[in-house]
Amino acid sequence: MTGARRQGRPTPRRRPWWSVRVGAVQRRMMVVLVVFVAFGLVLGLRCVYVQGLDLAGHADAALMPATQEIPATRGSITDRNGQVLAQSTPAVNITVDPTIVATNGLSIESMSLGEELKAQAGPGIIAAILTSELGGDFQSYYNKLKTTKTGSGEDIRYAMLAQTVLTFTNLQIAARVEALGYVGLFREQAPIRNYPNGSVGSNVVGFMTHDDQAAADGKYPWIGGAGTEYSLNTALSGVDGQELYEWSPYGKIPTDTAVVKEPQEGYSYRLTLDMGLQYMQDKRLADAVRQTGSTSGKAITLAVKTGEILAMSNYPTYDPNDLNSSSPDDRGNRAIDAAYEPGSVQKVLTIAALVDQGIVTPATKVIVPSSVVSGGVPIKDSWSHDTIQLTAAGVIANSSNVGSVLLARQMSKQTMVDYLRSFGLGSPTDVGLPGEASGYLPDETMTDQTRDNMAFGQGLAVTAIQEAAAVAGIVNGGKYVSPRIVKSATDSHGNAVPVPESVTRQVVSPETSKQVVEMMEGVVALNSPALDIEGYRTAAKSGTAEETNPSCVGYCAWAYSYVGVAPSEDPEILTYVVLDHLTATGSGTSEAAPVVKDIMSVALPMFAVPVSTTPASDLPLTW
Amino acid sequence: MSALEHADLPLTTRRSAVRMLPPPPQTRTWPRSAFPLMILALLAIGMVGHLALQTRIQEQGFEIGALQTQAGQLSARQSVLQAMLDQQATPQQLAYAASQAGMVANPYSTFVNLATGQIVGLAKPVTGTEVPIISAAAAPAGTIPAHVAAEAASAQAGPEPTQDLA
Repeated sequence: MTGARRQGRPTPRRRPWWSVRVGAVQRRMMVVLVVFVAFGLVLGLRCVYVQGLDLAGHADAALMPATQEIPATRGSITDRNGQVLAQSTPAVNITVDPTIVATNGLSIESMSLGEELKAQAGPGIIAAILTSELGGDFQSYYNKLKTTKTGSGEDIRYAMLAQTVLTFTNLQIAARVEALGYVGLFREQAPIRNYPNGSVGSNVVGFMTHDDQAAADGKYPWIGGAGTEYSLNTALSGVDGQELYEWSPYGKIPTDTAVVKEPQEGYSYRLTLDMGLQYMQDKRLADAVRQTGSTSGKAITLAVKTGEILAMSNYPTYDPNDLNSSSPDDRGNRAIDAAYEPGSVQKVLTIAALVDQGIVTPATKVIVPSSVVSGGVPIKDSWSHDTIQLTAAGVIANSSNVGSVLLARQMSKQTMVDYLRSFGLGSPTDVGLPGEASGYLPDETMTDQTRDNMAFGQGLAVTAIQEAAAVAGIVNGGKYVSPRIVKSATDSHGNAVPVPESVTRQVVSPETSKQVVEMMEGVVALNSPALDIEGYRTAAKSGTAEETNPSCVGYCAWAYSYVGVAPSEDPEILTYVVLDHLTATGSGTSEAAPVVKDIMSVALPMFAVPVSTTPASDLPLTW
Repeated sequence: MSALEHADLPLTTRRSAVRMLPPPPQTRTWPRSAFPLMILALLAIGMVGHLALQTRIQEQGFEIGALQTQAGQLSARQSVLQAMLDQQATPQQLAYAASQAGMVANPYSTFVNLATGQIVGLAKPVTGTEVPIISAAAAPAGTIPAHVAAEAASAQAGPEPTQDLA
């Protein structure tokens, strides 16, 4: 019976617990489902852990060794016509790992005799290549390539061979070294900031300086140190990008390279400067400082109607390509950061305030004594005279201190201060350059003596840009336009980027403006033909002010200045020059005026200003 | 029709109702080893294909690498040449070059009023001393080393890119 059963239907073997009977579809599906759900659950929990619970740790572990900064390209700076003032040129620092050079990148145990001999010759051959491409001392290169241990016996894995080598030159070096089968040189990106114009306009353009903190953080260590390079540094620099990649023992795996963040290239700026004029103004100012024995000088040429600075010069100055050969004192911009007492050019502001109030006209009669006492101190004119009869125009033309004081006493201190403040004195002009000084403008509580002194430009301090902009506002139909140095900006795709606009305000009436310009024409007429600019009616005012100077005590120095405006009938161009002296050798008219004349003689035709077709005004100066 | 209805028929006749079916047609069977061979063949084709593809990718990788190197060299050369050009375009360089060419500055501008045809200005010959600002000073030193400038100016552009990648 048992045997028959065995033959007919064999007894199935006992299944293990995990096996599922063939045909039990439902059960099989359940098993698969359970396995999948369990697997998914494990993955899910891992995700929660990585993404939620230990985010920083894993992100750091994933990113730190496999990311690299992609430096953004610094924007360029050009003049109003696109002439390059500052441009970055690709360059690198060449470094070496002497331990690699020592074995030429091979394992010392597996080197053949030939390979050893070749490695031994490496430092000499590489040093010879560097010397021929870069110049410099062969022995210095050789020592750095050859020295693999410090004095205390530690490995030297890094030495700087040469800094800011043009990428073009570095590629030549790399090709020669590679062709001879040598390894061990490395490069670090270190773009050169190139200033093709050298010292011309350098006080405006600025220079780059080393940022130790950035260097310590492993970032590009050069930032704007002065001028527009400083004031526009953030926008010029752009934002560095970041590259994510993977490493294998043989280096970077190119196929796995992924740029996670593109660098945002810096904006490029177009300044209001015209380098043609800047070059000539720089040169003329330098000649004047040298010829007159001045300690320093500054010159500004403005477009009267727009407030654009066409040229801004300093002397002594510096070459940003060769900073070390200049004095740190000369690397600022005296036209905006040095405050001084403006002297008689200030009379233009005084008379404009008086005319605008209707207190004075060009024909106002003034009896001018030989001196006037103020605070117990006599104020005199620069030339000796008895009592004379001048018109207000005559007071300006002759630059009478006494006459100016007598006229200024007719307005309140509060009104005087309000006018001077509206002309832009006492606060920075926000020209767009760093380090701009506010100057010093006394308030309405000033003494009578201070008020009298201010009438002819003592007792207050201004910067050259403040004074130039103030006079420009008065002659520009009475409309003040704040000066500016940045004309426009673009991003790396050429799209326009907004830049600050000039602030404008009506400071005196158009009629006042016209009368003040006509009075200023008297200054040129008195010095005709020496200060005439051929073809153009010109208005001007000279200044000779006493100054303080760090090198001496009290009022021991002089500032000779001259402002010129042309054409008088519709002023377009203003030039203001200030020469600083330690000795009294002349006056604004004798020293600064010829400089202004030469600069304007070039600037007016350069900007296609039509010549004058009407005669200069001929106001009576005496009565 | 029931079985009783056929009870009177002879036995032989009843048997003939059970007929022989024709044998099923002979189907050709693959030898047991064919399947593994086919898999091996597919594998071999795949590997050869992969190898060929990999080789081609590597070749193109080298080609791309070479072209990138060339692009880097050209870019570096361009930047040096651009810097030299910027240098040549500076006012001081132009003033020097102009003076070397025998030119002098003329500050006397003349304007033609296009609306009226009127000529306004003071055109007159100059001697060269009218604008003392401009002088025939020596050319300023360039910011690119002379030997680098010479190398960049004479450097070869390198091989042309191959047509299929151009």
